[in-house]
Amino acid sequence: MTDTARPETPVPSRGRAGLLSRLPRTFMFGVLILGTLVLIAIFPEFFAPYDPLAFDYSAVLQPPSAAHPFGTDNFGRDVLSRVIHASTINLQIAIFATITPFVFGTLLGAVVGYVGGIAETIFGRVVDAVITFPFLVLVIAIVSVLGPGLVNMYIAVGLVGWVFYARIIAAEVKVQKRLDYADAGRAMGYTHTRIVFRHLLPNSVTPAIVYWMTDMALAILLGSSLGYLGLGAQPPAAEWGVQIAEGKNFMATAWWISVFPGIAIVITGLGFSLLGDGLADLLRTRK
Amino acid sequence: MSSETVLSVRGLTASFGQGDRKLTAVNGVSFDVRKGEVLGLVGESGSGKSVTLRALTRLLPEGAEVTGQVMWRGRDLVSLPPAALRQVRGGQISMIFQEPMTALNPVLPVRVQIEENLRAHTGLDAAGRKARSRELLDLVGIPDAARRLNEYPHQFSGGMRQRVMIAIALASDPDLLLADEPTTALDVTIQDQILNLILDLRDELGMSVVFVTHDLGVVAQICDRMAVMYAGRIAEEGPVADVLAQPHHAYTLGLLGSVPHAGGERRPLHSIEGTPPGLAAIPPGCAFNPRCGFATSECRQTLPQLVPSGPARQAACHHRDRVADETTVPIPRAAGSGGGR
Amino acid sequence: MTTPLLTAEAVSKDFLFARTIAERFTGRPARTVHALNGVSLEVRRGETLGIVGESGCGKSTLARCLVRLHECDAGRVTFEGADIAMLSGADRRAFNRRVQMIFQDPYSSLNPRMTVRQILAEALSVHGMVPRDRVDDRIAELLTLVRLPQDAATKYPHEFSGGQRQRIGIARALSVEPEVLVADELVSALDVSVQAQVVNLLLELQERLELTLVFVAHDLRLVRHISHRVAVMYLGQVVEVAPTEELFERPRHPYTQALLKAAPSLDPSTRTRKVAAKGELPSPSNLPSGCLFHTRCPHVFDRCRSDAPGLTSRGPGHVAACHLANPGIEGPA
Repeated sequence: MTDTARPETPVPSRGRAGLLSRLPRTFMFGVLILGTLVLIAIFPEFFAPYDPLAFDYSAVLQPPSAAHPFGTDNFGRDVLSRVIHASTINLQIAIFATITPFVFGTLLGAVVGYVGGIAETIFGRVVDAVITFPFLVLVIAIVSVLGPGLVNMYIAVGLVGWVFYARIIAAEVKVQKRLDYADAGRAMGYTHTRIVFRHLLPNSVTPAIVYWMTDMALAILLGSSLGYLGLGAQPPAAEWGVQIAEGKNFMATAWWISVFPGIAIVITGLGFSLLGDGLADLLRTRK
Repeated sequence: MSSETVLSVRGLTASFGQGDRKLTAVNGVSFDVRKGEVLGLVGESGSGKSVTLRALTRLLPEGAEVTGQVMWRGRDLVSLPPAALRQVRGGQISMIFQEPMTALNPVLPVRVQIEENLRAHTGLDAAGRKARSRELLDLVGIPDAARRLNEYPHQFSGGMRQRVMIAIALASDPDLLLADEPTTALDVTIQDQILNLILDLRDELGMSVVFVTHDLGVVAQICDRMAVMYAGRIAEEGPVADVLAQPHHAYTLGLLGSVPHAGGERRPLHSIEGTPPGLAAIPPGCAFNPRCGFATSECRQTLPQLVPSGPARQAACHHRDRVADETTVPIPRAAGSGGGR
Repeated sequence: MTTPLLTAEAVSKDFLFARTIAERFTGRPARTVHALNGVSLEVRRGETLGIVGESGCGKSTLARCLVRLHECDAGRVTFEGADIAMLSGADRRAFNRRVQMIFQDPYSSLNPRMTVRQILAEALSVHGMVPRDRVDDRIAELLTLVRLPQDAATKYPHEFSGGQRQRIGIARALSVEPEVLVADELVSALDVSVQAQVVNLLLELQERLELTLVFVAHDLRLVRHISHRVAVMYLGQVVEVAPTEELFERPRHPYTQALLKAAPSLDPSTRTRKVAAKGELPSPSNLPSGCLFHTRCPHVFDRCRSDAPGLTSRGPGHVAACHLANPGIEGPA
């Protein structure tokens, strides 16, 4: 044996140990917000001081006070308790309205991006068709046909929302499949399924995950919009959009009915956005 | 060849970043460039050869710190005010790059780009500039110059683009041409054309050239003197034929052994172990010691200085005599002389 | 080393470029790049065949056709006499196992999200190379084979240098115990000193494992060092094939001669100031008539512009495609 090919000194590795310290502060802040929110959503009874549905005609339209930090509404229901209980429904909306589009869109997008050709052309036309309609209008139209309610809202969002994920993934897979590791897989005799789902997809999914985070925030807004319009969650259930709608007649006299659920929406959206940005940093392929 | 020194570099150091994260890419580099000579700066990636070249005219990204002395016509370019430096850059000293597509502006016809340089560095009027642009394209061997002046960079092939870039560099009638791997992206037959062009221009215009490359063959073919760089320092320096025939630094020896020679087919190459160090982890003592077959404890502790090691030669190696003895075999060295070192 | 193991028979491959909007409006037809124009070659068992040429000569396309990453538009590639385009099912899988490719770019040829162990284990399990409980042992053997430390298995590609990544690529190809390795510019992205390490490894592995090697590269010095025989390509055609020494000592095609002359020699005493080949590569979408090299050839005469020369014998195992028997020295053949 000659001295010609001994192992090279490995490049110093940046292991997982340094991971926590490298996390951006904004990401940790996002995790903190959403973590708290999930905790509240799972155990609303533990955090809410009152029953969210209990009428109390002795305390109607009271401004924020020590007894009712967020005030009460026109039925004397405690706004804080309602905001807390609504978080359960709103987080459900965030997840259920987006998970089907995410999974379905990702899988389909991966296949379209890999196959290309005619599949891509057809897919392109579908995307054009969906994108030319305003998203909200399309969803409202579908919900109107199916009837109001949360489940129908999930269906409506699912029918439209997958397109955006599929588009992101298809574009990314198209880039990835030109890289040599995809050809290496083909030259090794791997099946197309293996190449797409074992090799290309894990390298393409990051932008879709980041978009998913933003999409959850958007889903809460959409759920609230539909709730406000009476097409989503139905009263008397507590839901932030429904609450804002309920408070609209009292804007001038009892602002707190609408404003506090509004703030809850903003904070949740912020949490998802920060999480999404942080994930983008975290999942970026290291070169 | 005249031996008048036109550029004198002393202790040139270039670093990036601050505090703990400060990385020194070029460390105390000194050399002279004589009138009409082609000096080759050769090294592998991360050796600091390109940074050295750019540091000469302070053409480095924001945040880079350059110290030392670069004497050009009695002035120190390192401390020259920006306005005066701009007059030197692209004027008396021109530069050409590896990738002409990114060095040329894609949305301007080449005529505009050549005339731009003429306007900045000569007193020619519009008609004079136009005529001179044509002359320059002719000079660098672009056929049908009058028509091609109005074309855009993407309409030229890689070799022709490199010629355009050389024409732009020549517009100001420079005395020194800095070439940063200008033929690395080109095919060999085109590389051959461009190298010949650079030599022809050197002869006609009496320029000096500093030529950065990783290819020892290119150095052997066009340079008069060469400086081998490793980890930001000059390892050895001297006339090309002498250095290639008998290296005085173990790294040069290893680099030569890594290149296949005729007569040694299908036998192991005398490669160097390991990889060049990153800027953040340059070994103490002689930076080459972990990869060096000659290394002793002295090499691990003391940085060897660049000292004279022969006629017109310098080397920074504690064992230059042992290294020189190893290569009494002139190149091409037989690769079959056994695997071990 | 006499029976051809892998052959290309008059292989052609075109690439169609999508038209730009401007071209659609002006009704210009889509641009076709003729990457391969009737390439015939044979690779013999146990040998190293070097394929050299400049960019755009089709050498990478040919490499990809040989492993069926591209399907040929015309002609065929055979492996042990069988047309590889006809292989399907188990036969195709067997072909894919026995003929492996190693890629140029050490940064994109490995899946960045898989550890070295996962990369190697996948290849081993897909082709059922070893029983499940032997996989880790085999990975350890493979790492030793390509001289990587054992702890490399748990690392990701980005934790390695370029030279080490190429070793991982070689280990992946070797994991399925192939008979043929097609290496496309294997070391051209590496530093000179690291190049030599990988070349040494390749030479040693070939001897030990009795591999047949197709070494595609633009670096003449490397090709000369590694190959038993060399094929020179120009504009999608093979212009000359010969045993290595024969080709470098007595090149019979003017392009080969120009290529050898243009390659910068390490010996400063061989300097010339004569340009080896004038002009530039013609566009591969608009090929010259007759001999493809006639636009740049110093010995061009009328026949070259109209007749395309075929590969004719110039000695034992030596063929060249030129109308002149000995260009630069003698008259027409």
